[in-house]
Amino acid sequence: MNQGNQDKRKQRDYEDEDSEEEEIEQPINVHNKGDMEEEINLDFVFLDPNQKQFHSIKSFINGYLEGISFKSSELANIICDQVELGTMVGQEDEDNVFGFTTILNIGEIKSNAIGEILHYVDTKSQQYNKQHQQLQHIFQTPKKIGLFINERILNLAPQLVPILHNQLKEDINWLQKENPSNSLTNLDYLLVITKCFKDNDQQKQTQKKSTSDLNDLIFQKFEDYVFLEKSVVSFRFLSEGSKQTQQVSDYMKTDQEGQICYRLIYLIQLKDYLAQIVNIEKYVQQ
Amino acid sequence: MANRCQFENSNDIGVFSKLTNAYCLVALGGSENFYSVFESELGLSMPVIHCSIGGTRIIGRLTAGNKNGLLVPNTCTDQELKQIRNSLPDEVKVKRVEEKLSALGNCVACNDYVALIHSDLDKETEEIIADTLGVEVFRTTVAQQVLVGTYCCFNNQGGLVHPLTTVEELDELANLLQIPLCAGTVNRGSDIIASGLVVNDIAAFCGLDTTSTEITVIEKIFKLQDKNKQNMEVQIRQDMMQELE
Repeated sequence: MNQGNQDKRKQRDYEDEDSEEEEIEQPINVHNKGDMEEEINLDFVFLDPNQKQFHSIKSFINGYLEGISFKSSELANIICDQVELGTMVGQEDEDNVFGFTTILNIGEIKSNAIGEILHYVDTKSQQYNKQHQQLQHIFQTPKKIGLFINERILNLAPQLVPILHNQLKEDINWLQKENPSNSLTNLDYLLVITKCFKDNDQQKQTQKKSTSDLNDLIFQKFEDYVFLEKSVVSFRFLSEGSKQTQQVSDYMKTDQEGQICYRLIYLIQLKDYLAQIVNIEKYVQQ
Repeated sequence: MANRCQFENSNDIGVFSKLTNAYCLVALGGSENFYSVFESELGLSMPVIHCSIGGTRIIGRLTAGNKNGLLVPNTCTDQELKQIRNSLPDEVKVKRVEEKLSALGNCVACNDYVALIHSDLDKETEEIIADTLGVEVFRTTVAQQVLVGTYCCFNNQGGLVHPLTTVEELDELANLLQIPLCAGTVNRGSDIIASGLVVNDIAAFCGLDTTSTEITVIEKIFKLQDKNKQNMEVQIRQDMMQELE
């Protein structure tokens, strides 16, 4: 029954979105030999999670869980099954996904992958987090924490990003109206695991974890900078990655300019996250 | 029996290994889990050999072989060729092929009697294949794809092809190969058959994501089930029919 209602909701949403947000035209300039700029218009669509997208989601999750867990199939499955909350951006009639955002309730979902993620966060927090006590205190109520997964291909048009986050906001609002007993409506905190970089010439200063050098960090996803400002707990450490991928992705660690890769973990209150989405839009408009 | 395994968290088994009725090649991996899955299933009947081709680990896609021989591309170094030659049984002829299309695993699909090859392969290469592997060679496409080695996989008893292969094409190929063929997928809906699956007459290995339906299809078409299981199935079916009557 629930499924039927949800499908109707998505249909209605598409009709609403059709007019404004579902399709975004991205004029892209391409230089060809004749030195004339050609504009190519691309249409992106925003979709609900769907089993057909499993393989794309799994590739993103492989990168997300690098060094944390090997159970990417399990996590990808959970994300694709959670139709009520989560948005994917792709193209019409294609199962390839260019990016997605979703929130998973840590306390509710029984999964080895999530267990391993939490274990990883706990271990790293003990080693690197000054606010470890606070984190442990928050983790005592796992049902109030959502794992926020926000992955996309690196060069995805930034105009799409605020829409992805806004969709999450709308999904939560809809859930609160339609199904207030759903565990995803009562979240207090969001747990975010992400990556950031720093220039190598400042290596001597990297041992200090003060937030004053926030501006020296280069973020893979710009919205992390916006959310980090409002986070309650945050810490970062050198990203190890798994041994095998190290050879392949060494460019991630030290590229030509010499950048070091850090793993960044932070907790942000849900209401702060929702409030900060507006600020992301300001970034994009610049 | 069909077994599920992973190579370093990748479900693309067929990229990192090559399985025939006489030998098995595996790529050098971070952990030996992959190797041990093969060894436990095949160890007593055939050698399982570590190797690399041109310094890479994608040996399954670069080589083509059966119990009679093995063909390696021109990217294979002398040292690697020597190592392979020394490790393989003497009956297996190893030959390096000078061919523009160097990913032989993608261009050639073969069992011990027949080979299907990419339409653009050199005449010379075709002759080398016929000679070294001791097979009858056919230039053909599978589901309008020229990379026959990628989109189909067969042993001496049956074969699995790209899911979008038409019935007419299936009939035609089955006639050429003289074995039953079936269209299907591996690794939870992936249509790149040969990268997700390696098979010989006694065993098959596929990626961890392969669903139980896909495994059933694989076991059926490659005739990998034990005789006991088959009899049991027939018995259960008969009992069920009796109940329904």
